[in-house]
Amino acid sequence: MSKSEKKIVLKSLDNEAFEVEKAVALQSQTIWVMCEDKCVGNEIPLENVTGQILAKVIDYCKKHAVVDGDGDESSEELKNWDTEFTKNMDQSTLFNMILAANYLNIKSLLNLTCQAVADKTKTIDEFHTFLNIENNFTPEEEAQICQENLWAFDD
Amino acid sequence: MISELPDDLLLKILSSLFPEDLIATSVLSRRWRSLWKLVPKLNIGEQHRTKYSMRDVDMIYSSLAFSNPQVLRSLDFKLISYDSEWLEYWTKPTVYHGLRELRFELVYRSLKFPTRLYVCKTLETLILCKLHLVDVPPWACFLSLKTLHLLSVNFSHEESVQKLLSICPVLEDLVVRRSTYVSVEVYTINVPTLRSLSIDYLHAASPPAGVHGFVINAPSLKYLNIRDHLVKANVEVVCDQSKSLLGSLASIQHLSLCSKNLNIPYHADTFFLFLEHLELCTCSAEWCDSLTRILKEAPRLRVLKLKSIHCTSYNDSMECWNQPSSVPECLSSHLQILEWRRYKGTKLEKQLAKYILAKAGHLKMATFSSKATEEHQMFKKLESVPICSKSCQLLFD
Repeated sequence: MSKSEKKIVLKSLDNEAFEVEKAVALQSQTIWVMCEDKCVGNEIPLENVTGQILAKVIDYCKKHAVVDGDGDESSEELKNWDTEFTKNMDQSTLFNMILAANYLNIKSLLNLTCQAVADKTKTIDEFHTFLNIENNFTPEEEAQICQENLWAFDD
Repeated sequence: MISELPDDLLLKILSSLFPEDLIATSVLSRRWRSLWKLVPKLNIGEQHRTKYSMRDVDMIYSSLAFSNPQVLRSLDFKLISYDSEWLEYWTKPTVYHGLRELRFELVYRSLKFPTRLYVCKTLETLILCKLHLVDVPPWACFLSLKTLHLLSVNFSHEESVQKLLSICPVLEDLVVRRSTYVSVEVYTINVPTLRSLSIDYLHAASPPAGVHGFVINAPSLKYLNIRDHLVKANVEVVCDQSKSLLGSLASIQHLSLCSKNLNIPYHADTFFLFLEHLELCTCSAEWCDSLTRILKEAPRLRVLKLKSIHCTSYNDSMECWNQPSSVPECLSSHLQILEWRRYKGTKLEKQLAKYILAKAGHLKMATFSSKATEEHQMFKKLESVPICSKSCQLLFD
């Protein structure tokens, strides 16, 4: 099999092209189905993902393809890599990564990014600030909810 | 922005939280007020054994059940100690409502399932991690279980593994990870419905002592992944759909292959970079094509042995061998020994033999043997073919 057949080009929303090994790209179920259906050529347009996010997704897929392939790296190292990977992502990046992982259907990346959000929001205050949620309850409503779930709140 | 995600993705985030954090999200905003009640998964840790009274458990479940009893599909237990009564309490309502996925992690302690779980008809995925599984009772049955992961799971006997597998009539996906904790030596995996099997030895600090291995009888298997420090592998392929069977053996040095019913015994992109020694059985009509492919994809092959273990029932006299477009690297620079048992001298075999002798520049010894009566004549024909390597010894016996 020639080299070019093993590569695939992914094109982002903002027209950035990434040439990657097929084995790397096929971790995305969405791309896998596209290739399987033969409805696309060697170039796959991904209309929902920007180049900046796609670059990160490809980093992730490359790391995970290598590890699955040769088995030299322990799952422990991979876990550490995953932690580092999401550690410094701000909420807008994580938001876009979750959407991209969902659209591309990469289950492990979706789990990782959702877990990262959960890890960054250990308290209700962190939830409010990190997720930028505006409390739109009236004081009466809030009191009522606290009353309902009182048993869960008293530590 | 994350708060703009659709509900299903927000619920995915909520699925990683502990119950107390989950419930606390109800005070975030109106949108979040009841969202947590739709969460498909609960995570229960060791700290909850003392934190939650039975009444609290009831409260959580009644809140979840209030929105929709079918919503909660998955339970994840990560515990240090094990308390059967407590576990029974947590699993009872979920089993009743149709639990789909269950994960247990203990710190190398014995686990005995709550009674109801043994007959849970809806359970599809069971992941067990770092524990000793008490033998399943004979009346147990995981009627819908399709995925089973045994990650560092120990059993009392080798038979205990078989017992567990035998109560999973529709199992498709099995993952076994061995570690030094696991004392079972031979895993017998006899699962007619199994489609995917992953075996992982890498987590063992050192290879287990004594006889150890797997006996696999899985005629529906499509995907086999073995991660091991494999040096020598003997594989006899008797299932006819396992395309990627050999793809997972990419790092082996010694391969003995008999592919009785296969057209493509391994995946297209497989490379046997370390393969030095190949024994190929010539019992199937497609063996020549298999060989052509392996020659291309095993650049360091040094020893090639062709033999027929099973009796052949095909007739290849009319067939023509498709010569590779370029000379495989192993022929031009590595192959030293060719041994061909039961050489029949058919048109196809002759073509192949001629090709190897003509192209293998480093060949030191080529041995042909035959059962046929007209062997003398057959070998005579071979003697006259051009041989590339100057130092090659040609033997007939």
